[in-house]
Amino acid sequence: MALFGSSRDISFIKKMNSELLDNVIQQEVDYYKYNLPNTKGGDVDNLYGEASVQKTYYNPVRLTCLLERGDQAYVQDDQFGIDVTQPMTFRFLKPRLRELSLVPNAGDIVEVRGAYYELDQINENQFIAGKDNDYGKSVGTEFGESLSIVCIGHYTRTTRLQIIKAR
Amino acid sequence: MNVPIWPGSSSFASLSASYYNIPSSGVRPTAFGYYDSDSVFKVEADKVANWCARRLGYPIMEVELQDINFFTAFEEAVTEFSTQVNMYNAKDYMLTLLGSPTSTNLSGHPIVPNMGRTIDMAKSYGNEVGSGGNVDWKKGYIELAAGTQSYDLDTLWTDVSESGKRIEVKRVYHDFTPAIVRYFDPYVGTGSGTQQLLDSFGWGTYSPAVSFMVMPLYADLLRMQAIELNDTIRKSSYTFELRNNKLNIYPTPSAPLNMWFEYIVVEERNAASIQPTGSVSDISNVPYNRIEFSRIKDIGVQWIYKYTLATAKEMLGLVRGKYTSIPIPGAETTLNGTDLVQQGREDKTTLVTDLKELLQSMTRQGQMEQETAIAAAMQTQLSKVPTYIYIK
Repeated sequence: MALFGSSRDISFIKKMNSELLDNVIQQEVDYYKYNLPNTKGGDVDNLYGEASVQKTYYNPVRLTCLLERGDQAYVQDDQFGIDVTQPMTFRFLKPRLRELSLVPNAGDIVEVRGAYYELDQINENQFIAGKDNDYGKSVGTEFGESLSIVCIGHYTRTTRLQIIKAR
Repeated sequence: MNVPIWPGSSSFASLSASYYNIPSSGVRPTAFGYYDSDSVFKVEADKVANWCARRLGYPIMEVELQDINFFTAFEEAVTEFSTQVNMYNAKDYMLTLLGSPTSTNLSGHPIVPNMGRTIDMAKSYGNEVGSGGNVDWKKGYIELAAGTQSYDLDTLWTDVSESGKRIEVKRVYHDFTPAIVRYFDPYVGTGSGTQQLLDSFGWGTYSPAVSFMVMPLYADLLRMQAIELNDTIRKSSYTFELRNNKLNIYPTPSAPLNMWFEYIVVEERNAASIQPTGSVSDISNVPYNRIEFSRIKDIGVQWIYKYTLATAKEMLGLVRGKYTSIPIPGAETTLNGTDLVQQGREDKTTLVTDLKELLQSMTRQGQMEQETAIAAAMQTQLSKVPTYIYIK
């Protein structure tokens, strides 16, 4: 049995995080989960298994998270003109995602301030007291918990998403 | 596990009922349950919890405490107040209370001080000089033999009459005949020459016949001093030396006689006078019981509220301070646990210090000093009032 990181401590830490994210900072995003079964690839040739241009998403859920905004970067394209991109990091509280049965994956879309970001990287690497109670081994399930899922995404065009009417 | 925190309200009554009813369930509302049956405490507990939570930032901020934390802080505050008050009462009246029965609860009862223990303490002084006390002064005597100057009291008296217990001689009756009875002794060398005069009046057989003479008192004193000085200088002085109960007599006795002395048995003096069980012996068993919250009036109640808040603040600080930093998604943050603990303790220290000062000023000594100061100030003030000039 470990001395630190018991379920009481975890409960406290989760409450502090909830208060911090929900009441103090309150940065809200809408999360669009990629709806794989309803996404069809029949409108174009999909010879090599590339992504469909007709992705569909579940209805969004509103989440609080910590945002880390990268600067917008402007890229000169000789053929189409100037394009813009922006990296964005979303730090979600995993217990909240667990409550919603939401498992982030690459390709999911997160909307912030009317802009849409497609997730590229999903990192789950922060554990309370360094332990994950889902994999307690001899320590048991009373100690530790995965606290956060950090997602890194990039700004994407709304025209590609079919979430809102772009034009 | 989801450990609940302060939800915004509490119900001491329902918590208390579920615990104290049979069958019992839940937890006791307070740690010790000292005041759980006090109707005023029960009502105030919820209000105090609510007040403390709001003072700690609720509902804008979460307060990571539960109702039982607030109730326990409330109980601690009442107990602390009660202890401080009782402590000063005990301190103020300790001399009076020593030896009194421990069975009577003194809380809320004014004590009328007495001199009992002061006199008890004085008795030990009286023992030494023979003016009272609680150790017997005994009398004994040894038989002086003609020509023998030294006597061992341990052998002659202690071993025989006190079973070998060590004695301490307090007085030896070995002296000249008092000067007053030799006032007219023609052989003392300081005759006044009045004897014949008195005889002619028929008073010569009275002793001391000086009662019938119109002489100043100092004349008698001077004469007696003269007789004693004469004894000392011109005669072999009656005296003795006593070392380790070995007695040397001066002058050497010329005829057998009994010489009396007074003494105490050292063991009796050193024996502690032990009061019976059930008597107040020290601060540990002074029967000042906890003061019920319902008996405490506004001054104390406000102190208790503040102390409850300080304790709750300290508790919240300890909760928030268990981990120096708390992980948040992708980072860490530091809570105000350390600040809360420090503030809570400072508040408590200040409250206790203020209360002690207040109680100190209310001891008998403090009240007397205050009255003295008031009297002095009043005199000073009155001295400035113009005096009416009476002109006849």
